Amino acid sequence: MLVLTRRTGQSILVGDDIVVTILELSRDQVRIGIRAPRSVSVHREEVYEEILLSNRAAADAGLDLAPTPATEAKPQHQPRSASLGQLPRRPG
Amino acid sequence: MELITRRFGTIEVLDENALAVPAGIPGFPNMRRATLMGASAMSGAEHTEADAADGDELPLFWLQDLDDGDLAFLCLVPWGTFPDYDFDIDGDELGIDDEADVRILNIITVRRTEQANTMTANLRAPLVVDVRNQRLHQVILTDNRWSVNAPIAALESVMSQGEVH
Repeated sequence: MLVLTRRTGQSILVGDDIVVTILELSRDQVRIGIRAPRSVSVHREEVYEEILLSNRAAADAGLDLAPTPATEAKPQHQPRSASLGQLPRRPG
Repeated sequence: MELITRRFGTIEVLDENALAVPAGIPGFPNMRRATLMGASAMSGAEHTEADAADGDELPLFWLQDLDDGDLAFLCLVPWGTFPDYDFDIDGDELGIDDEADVRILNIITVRRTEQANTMTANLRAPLVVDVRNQRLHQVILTDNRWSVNAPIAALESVMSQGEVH
């Protein structure tokens, strides 16, 4: 890991177009500003991790929910994907 | 195209119903194409036609990966269950031409314990579906008002009776 010392107001450039600026220091917190292109997603690590774990749990639980075709009577019609037009809009 | 899935057997997916997932989703970076399958669950204990007529049916869909027949996520259209749910998204960033093309789904997680099954919806990271451009993004909201594990009371009694098809 690259370790740099910076003062309040100083910045670090990552590549050509990402600027990380130290805005404010307090006892055990630091406020950081990040300027990056819109295509670069920036997340708090623990939030991203929480979403990732939630997605994995959802996928695992999903395995038990629907009947597996092998144990079910054969459906009369081949199931079809839902049309995107079936997705309800937000009311109002 | 046809796809062999774990849940639905062989399904037919029309091109017009396929969704590109440009960035994958956290934990599943390889899910780049998906489609929706209808799902149904009644919010009452008894599943009767009268219930359906009363509009008790929850708007559920399966998000099925088109390259991995085993991977699917149960999702909820949130507005009826979470009437206060509201957030802003950056349409330009997601390549959305018209806000009217946007539909929202939230991934559901089922947790089974000995006492009960609990159902939660991930409101913090909604699925943003652009029906015109046929794209899907999972957006992580910066607003920490919305929980990753928001309880869905209406579904809890249902799941214990295996009413999701």
